[in-house]
Amino acid sequence: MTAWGFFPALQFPAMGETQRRIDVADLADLALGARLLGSGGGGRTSTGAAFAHAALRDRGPVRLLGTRDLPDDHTVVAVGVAGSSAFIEERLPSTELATAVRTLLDLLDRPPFALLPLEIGGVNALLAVAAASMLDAPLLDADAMGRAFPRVEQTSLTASGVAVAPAVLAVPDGTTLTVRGEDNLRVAGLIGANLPALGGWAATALYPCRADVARTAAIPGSVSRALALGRSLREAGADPHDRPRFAASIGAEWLFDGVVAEVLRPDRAAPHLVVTLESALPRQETLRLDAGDEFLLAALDGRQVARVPDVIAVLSAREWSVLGVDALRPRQPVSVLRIPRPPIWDRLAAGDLVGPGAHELGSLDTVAGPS
Amino acid sequence: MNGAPGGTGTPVTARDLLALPLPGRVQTLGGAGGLDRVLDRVVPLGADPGSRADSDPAWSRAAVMADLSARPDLRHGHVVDLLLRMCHHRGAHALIVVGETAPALVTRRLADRYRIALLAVTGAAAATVIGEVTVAVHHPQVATARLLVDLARELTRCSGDLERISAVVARALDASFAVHALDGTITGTSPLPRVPAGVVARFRSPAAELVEGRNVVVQPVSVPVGTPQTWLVAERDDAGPQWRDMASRALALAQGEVSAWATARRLRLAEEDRTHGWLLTELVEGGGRIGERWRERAAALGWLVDGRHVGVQIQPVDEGPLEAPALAALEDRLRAAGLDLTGPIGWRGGAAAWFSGAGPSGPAPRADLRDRLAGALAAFSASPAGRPVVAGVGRPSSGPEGIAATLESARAAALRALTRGGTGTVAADSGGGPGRLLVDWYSSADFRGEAARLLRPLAETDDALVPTLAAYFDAAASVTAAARALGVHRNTVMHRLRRIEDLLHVDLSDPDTRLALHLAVRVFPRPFAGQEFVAL
Repeated sequence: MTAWGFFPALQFPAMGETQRRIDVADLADLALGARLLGSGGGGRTSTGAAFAHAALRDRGPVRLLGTRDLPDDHTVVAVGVAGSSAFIEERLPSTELATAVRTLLDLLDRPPFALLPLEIGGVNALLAVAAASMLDAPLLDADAMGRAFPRVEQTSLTASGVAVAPAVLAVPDGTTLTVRGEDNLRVAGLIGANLPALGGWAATALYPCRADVARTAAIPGSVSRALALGRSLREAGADPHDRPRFAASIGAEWLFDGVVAEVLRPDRAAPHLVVTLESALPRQETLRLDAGDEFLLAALDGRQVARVPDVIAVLSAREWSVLGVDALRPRQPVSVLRIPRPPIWDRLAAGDLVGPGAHELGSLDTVAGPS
Repeated sequence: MNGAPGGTGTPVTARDLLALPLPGRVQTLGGAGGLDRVLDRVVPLGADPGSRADSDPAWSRAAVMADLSARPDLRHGHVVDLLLRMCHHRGAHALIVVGETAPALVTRRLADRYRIALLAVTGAAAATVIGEVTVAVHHPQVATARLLVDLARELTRCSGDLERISAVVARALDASFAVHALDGTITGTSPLPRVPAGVVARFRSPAAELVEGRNVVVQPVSVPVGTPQTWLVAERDDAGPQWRDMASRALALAQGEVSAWATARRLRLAEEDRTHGWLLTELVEGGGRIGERWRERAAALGWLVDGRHVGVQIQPVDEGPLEAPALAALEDRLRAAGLDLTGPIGWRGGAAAWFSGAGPSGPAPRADLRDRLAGALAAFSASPAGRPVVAGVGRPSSGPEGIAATLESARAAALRALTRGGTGTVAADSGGGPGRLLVDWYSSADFRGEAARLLRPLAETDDALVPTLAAYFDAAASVTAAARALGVHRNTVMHRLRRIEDLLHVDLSDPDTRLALHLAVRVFPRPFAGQEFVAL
């Protein structure tokens, strides 16, 4: 399995290599990169970008710190929103991100702190920037997921034994909900269960931990990576001939070029969306994509070629834009890329937490055997 | 395993599984190209599709069965994709999924690509389905025996009712089914088998064949002697060799019930014909004098008694009367030729029929009557129930006694047609002529039998001898004229006449011998001579 190592410029940024600031001008690339890392999910980054834009415009750029830039005893708090990205479109975020972080810090006696993006894939990457700006706090160049996941416990922090609690949920009217507990699955379950009562989504501050813990438990370089991916994607978009070079430059594997032949929507019994893609004659290969909120599996003629937590990116062949799970339509020409998973997942043996089995594709491992 | 695990010698294919009586509903989801691959074994994977997958390498030519009935979440089937891939690599020929399955296009494409028949069974418990498929593949004879036992029980409840028999057989085989009778009647379930009646009637023994991709199984109903008059036909699109084998046995079983029906039907047709024949006999023997009761019965049968009539007598060229199925087929052909006749009625070894017109002028004269009649005769001769026949048309005659008169005249013409022409000849009685003297001779069964006995050695030796003798006599004993008529050399005729003398131990220079043989040749059946018209 090719790992993150394809990213020579972006891998494990040493102290001083990290871009030091995120400014308004960076948001478009960040949004593009975050969308790519969303693996077809993670919510619409344009909404987050607009929100972050307003924050940065009012308060200036955000300081970006490498994980090694913080003193060991400083506190790191993960920040993002939990819930349905569809509801974020209906009710735009305002002050609740800051409220959630402040409430959590109050519980911790207000230590010096930095924010960690909970999820680099999708809208949460941009909301973390906005939160850092609003709180005038440094942002760690890292994240807890490496892509987008549907549940808050699906993080490298959980896999490393960091407690999700105390976790604070906040909504715009000032209501907050604090969840405490030892068991991350239980706490995450309670957070999920309360979201409907909170209006579908809530700002959340969670996983408070020491900087030296975050240094090994978080996925390093995520923000710079998203920025670089976004920049490369934007540049490659102009000229189709640059696309293969783009894939190579970001360490991605080019899986497939073809046309969407069928989109089988999920139903009550079968929770996954299945997309059939067909390539042109004479090879006429078929690629299968299984998706939940994000793309989870890709199989070429029955052989698995990508699986969560790999990022599976589907790009429109015409515009070279990143397509979400819901955007696929029959007869659409697309290209499919695999961006290898960060090595931390293999190091932590976190298959049960973030692999196919965690996405109700459970019998896969037992059936598949060596492919 | 030689493709016959069950020992019946007939291989089982995935297509058979679509047709065999399995519980639940079986449908093909993909891999149609693999439906005809032979299945040697069944590999059940159990409730967890993956639990035994890696530990059982013996998948060669197997039907792999996966129970997904408890996992509706898998019905879009990425697991099915993986199983297909494993089937492909391990040489399995079919993948059978139990439970509601709605595979994505990609799954169907994969099955197509690997030529692995992907079947889904719904509406039955997995354990039952797996058990039944195992029996069907490993012991197909058991499935067949079960079906036959059930069928036998059902058939006994049909009490000879052909529609019920048809429904029972069709349901048991899940096929379309029909009984074809020789006269062209077809009884069966809707939709009827598509195989044409002409094709069916050619079968002399049971057969199971693929006809244009359809499985056609035909069972002629056995008769003690002669050719079959009734056939059982089952047909379905999707089935394999095992189904054809099973269907053959089922039809053989149903044959008994159908045979009883066919016999009863034959008796009924014969009875109808006898009623007509009785009325006709009474009319002829009474010399046209008839009572009120006779009139009532004739009217009930649709006879127009008081008009003017033109009789037609149809006579078989070979021996033996025309029986009920043949009469039914003949009626069918006469109607098809647009001839609106009363009859045909079995009459004096052949069949009598007549046109009736209401007024004294009688039926409108038909210029094309001969052609139509000759066409009907040819069609009848070529039909499954048909025999070679000739026809005579009588002189028009009026009133009840006119029916008897015109039929007698038609019969005389038919006998002339027999003697003067070959099969298909239509002769009209235009009245008069010394030839009428010979009618009694020709119509004598004793004379015809004696003539046949006399000439048989010639017919059995060489087909050319009887025609040569006839040509010789017709040419007033001129060898030269006979050779010209036959299109052969004079010496050939001389040679044949010598062989005839040797074979019959006769001397052709003797006038009595010549006269006797001439008369005999006249009534001896000849090969088909086209639609010749012979006037007396």
